Amino acid sequence: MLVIKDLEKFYKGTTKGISGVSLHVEKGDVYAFIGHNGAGKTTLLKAITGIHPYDKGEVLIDGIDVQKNPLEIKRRIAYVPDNPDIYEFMTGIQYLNFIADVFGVPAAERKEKIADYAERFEITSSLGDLISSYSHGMKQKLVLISAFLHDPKLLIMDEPFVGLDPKAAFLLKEMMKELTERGGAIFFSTHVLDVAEKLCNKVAIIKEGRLVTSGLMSEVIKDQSSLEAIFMETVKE
Amino acid sequence: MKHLITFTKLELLNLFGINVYKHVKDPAEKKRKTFLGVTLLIVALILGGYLASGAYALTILGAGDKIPMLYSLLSCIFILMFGAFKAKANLYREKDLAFLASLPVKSLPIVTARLIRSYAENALLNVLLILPAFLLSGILGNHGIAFFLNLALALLILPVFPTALTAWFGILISAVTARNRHKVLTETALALILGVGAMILPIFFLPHGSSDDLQLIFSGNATSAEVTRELSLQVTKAFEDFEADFPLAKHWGSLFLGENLGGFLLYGLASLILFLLTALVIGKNFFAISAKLFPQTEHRAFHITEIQSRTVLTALIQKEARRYFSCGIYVTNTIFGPVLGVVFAISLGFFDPMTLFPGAENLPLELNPQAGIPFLLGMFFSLMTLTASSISMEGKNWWILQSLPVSAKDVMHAKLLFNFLFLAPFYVLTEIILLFTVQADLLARLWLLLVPAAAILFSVTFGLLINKKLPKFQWESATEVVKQSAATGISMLSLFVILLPGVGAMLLKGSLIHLATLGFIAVIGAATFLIYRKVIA
Repeated sequence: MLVIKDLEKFYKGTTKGISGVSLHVEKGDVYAFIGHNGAGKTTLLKAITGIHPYDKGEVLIDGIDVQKNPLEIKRRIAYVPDNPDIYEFMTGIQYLNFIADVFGVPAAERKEKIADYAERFEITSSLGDLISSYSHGMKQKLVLISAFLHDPKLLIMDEPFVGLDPKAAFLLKEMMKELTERGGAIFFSTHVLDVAEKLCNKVAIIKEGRLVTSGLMSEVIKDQSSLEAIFMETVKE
Repeated sequence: MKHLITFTKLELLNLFGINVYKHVKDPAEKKRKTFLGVTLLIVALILGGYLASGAYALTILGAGDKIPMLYSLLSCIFILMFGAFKAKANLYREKDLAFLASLPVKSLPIVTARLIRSYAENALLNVLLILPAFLLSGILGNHGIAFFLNLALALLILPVFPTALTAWFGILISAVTARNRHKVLTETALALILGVGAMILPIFFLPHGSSDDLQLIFSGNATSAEVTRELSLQVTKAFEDFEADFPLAKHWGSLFLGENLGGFLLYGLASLILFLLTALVIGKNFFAISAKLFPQTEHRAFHITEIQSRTVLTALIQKEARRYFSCGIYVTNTIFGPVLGVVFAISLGFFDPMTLFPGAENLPLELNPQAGIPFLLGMFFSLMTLTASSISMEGKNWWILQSLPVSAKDVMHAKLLFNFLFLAPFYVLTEIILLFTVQADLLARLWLLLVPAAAILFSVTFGLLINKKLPKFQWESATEVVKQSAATGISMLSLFVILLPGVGAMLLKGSLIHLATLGFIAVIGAATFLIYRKVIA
């Protein structure tokens, strides 16, 4: 599904970025991506989605190169950023409709999906309000709904649980499972290590722009007590 | 006092974006900001030079003692005109309201610091624009040290009064628009009234002489001494008329000549009192006013009914429309040109274009203002395009279009098409009005139709190209993008491309006018096509 080979991306004039990152996300994977603040998580996620061009290496989704055919890639994926900065001049329903138009989701299908997801996240009655009046959590819910609207093959999320109430967080986990059961895959960054350990079958840890470890969760944890213990040890080194 | 210093430091820290410039690490971004800073400085120097040359001319014509009065008046008018709509953004910011409310600080130092920031901006602009003119008038007028000391104080004191006054205007405008359902529409209407009013009002202050007075100058028989004497008489008469109509202006002007120190200090004290009073009143009610200015949107329970799908391009155009009409600053600044186009078309029914050029009949060259009308209309429609800031207006939402499966070509097409759709009603209305207000033959009527259309196509496409090259995604207020960005400034160069050939056409006769106009359309059409190719690349 997603193959990253020896990826390198540095911000101009700085030493900030990522280097030598390689990993493989397969169908059905729920892949957690963890690291301290400024380690390069967002940089990698933005490079995968085609938002930021990278300097070296290769990113392939379904065998298609992200830099060579970005539009084809973007049709197959969905991206949830770390901050739900969305069009505040639109109402919730207008935003969802806009996203559905761009992905070409048929009218009947989008109506059904919007109704279903909005009901689950309990924001149906607010969909007619301007997004500028939404709380951070509500905006996050809207971004999540928009990401699930076109049934992406690969869902890339940057800290998706931030700002969600416990019920919404539970719902998101359910929706992530449903997506992988339908043959999709998820690659997401998080600081909530408990969630990552329970929810994900694979994990990668990044430190100062380089992958420290990656692979099956069980293999990464091995004889350690938890993912948190592994992470703390890795960061300390 | 401690809090006032802290908040003033905070406000002044990033004055004109200095702090961001100092710490930006990306060399490309640094280069872009340097370019913008240098461009703005050059523009300010040109304007300052222009005003200084005006001061020089007035001194030669014997009106040097009127310079402080005229330029200080101009300074106040500029601050009032541009500051009234900026005042709300300067004083009240929704973003940090909750943060400020949580701090153990009274609102008075916050408001005072924000007023000081507005004052600092105005004072710095005053120094850049008016100082050269004041200095020149002092040197040419052989004034003593007292004049220059008075001048230095005047530059500091002058912006205090209008800065405080704009804060009140800002509150008034905000109060009218805050709880209005059609907030953007009301803001736009107020801006248009103020803008068009500011353009019409000076007509009443113009000298009441006729073009006959200038006949000697343009006859070609006058010596340079006679020309100077005649112009001097005209200028003196204009100032006498003005001072007779507004006696207060005369006394006010005398304050800046270094002749009335007591009056000058009294004016400074009065300005300071108004400033402090403004800070005190607004400061006391800051959070109450803010709560009224940023009311929570009324919640209405929503039910999902029928949802219709649209093409990607339609969805993108609709998004552009929503973005545009949701932002008052964007609308008020860009609607002005097309409205002026319509007003100009109407005005042609009431006056002969020749009256725009008094004494032109005595010039050695024959002027044909009729030939310039299509170009002038084209200029009005191109005054400030939507496209010049439409990419920057994406701001922190830019990631959405970047991560969606939409081609850059579609995004650019949507921005271009929305700008054309926005201008279309104004263009059509203008053309219909011109049918009744302008007498022209078939060919001249064709130019009235084609030249503004070509100008629109060119300026809109050019604006988008410049914004694509110089986008500004990091901004707090839309003012930074719509009014103060490099893209909007540079895109206004298109006005010269449209206006200069128009001036050229006015100097031609007969079929040459038609040939030149056709040539203009062909050249600008080709240029538009080349720019369009670059835009969608």
